[in-house]
Amino acid sequence: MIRRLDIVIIALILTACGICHILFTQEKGQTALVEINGKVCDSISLASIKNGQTEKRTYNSDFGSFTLSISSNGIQFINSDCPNQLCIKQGKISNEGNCIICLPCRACIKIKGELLDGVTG
Amino acid sequence: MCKLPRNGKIRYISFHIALIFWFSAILISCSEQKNSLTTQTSFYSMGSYVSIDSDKPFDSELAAMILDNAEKQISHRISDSLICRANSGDTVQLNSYLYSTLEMCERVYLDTGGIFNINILSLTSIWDFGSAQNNTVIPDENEINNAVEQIQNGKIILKNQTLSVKGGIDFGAVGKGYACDLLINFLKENNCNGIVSVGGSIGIYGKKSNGSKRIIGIRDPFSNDPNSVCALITAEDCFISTSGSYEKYIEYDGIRYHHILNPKTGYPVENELISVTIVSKNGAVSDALSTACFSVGIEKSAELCRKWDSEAFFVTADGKYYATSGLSELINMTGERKVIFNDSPA
Repeated sequence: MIRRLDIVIIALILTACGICHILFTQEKGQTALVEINGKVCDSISLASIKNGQTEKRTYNSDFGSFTLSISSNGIQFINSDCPNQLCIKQGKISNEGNCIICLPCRACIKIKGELLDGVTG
Repeated sequence: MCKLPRNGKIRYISFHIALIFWFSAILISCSEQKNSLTTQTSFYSMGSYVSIDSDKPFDSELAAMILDNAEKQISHRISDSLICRANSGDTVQLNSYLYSTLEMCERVYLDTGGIFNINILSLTSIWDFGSAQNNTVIPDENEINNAVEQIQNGKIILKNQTLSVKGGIDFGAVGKGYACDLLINFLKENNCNGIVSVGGSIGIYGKKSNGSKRIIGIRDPFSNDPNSVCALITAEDCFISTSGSYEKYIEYDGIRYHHILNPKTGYPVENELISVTIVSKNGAVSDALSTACFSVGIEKSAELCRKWDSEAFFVTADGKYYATSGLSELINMTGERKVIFNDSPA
């Protein structure tokens, strides 16, 4: 006979497992990170976007707004509040370790990677 | 006969184990979010994007505070900074590392016959490079001549840990490397091996956690893509800075004016170079020398690098690559590019 306490025990174990699953699961494939003012505010799995399709995401912060276009083969700025639009001119990034920075918006988009530890210049 | 009591005991124990498991999961998820102890952080400071990667956790808020405090001392844009007060005529007391950095700048000034000069605010304040390539205004000739005259009459006096200035110091040519020094010191004090980057100036301490050395790319000055690299340096315990005419410039009347100014003419330095990368044991030195070597050209750079125990990599405007021989084991060119190792005049 199942008692109420049994249900509580099962529920506790299931929620704990759920939390651990979320914490420790890694997404496969390329991941693009979106940072605003140094804090990661979005993590996008490029593999999750179907071939040929493009997703647009807009981000708003105290420093400005910008829109990204994301496809399975890369990510780029397509709109930004910044005065010089340099971030848009840099086009699409798709290789691991690459990043584009929009200083006025304090935004940085980067493809997570291990190839290069840094780029000088 | 004991079935019920045993089941009750099992339930009692299971409930408490499940509770502990649940609380642990909650605690772990909370600590992941709120702890400022981390192995990777990025933030904005000194007008640049700063990132720190370490093999052990460090206090990221403390690291950011160290740079904020440094900026409040050295920025000529912050009205009560030490440098700003010195520029206004006060004699200011400096901490020992800032003082020795300024002493280093004075020695490089003498070594370069004055073409590297941080007492240059009268000139840098009238050239508005910012980061906008579509800026199309240059200062007029009279303004430039006045600024050059102020620089010629300028003076930096360093005595007993104090600074007095006639003119105006702009720390721009050294600031990023100086910041890298502060951050690497911070990592060392916390027993961390890591890499720091401040607006493209890089500092490295130790190896990666897998035991391999770090690989740094040198940006290809001929490509519009900031992630395109022309060479790779294998690096451990060093600082790397690059100065290039492609970084910031103004296009006016069909002419490109880049941001590395000659304090004697008031106009951008003109020579064969498009980019210089310096590898050094000190961040402020690597930053200062990247500007100094760009300004003096390849031929005079060899002696400058020898004096400061640093290595250099040059890219000329016509697409040739040169490096000092100390880089021969450390540098690899990408694609079909070839580098000439040369410590004597090119």
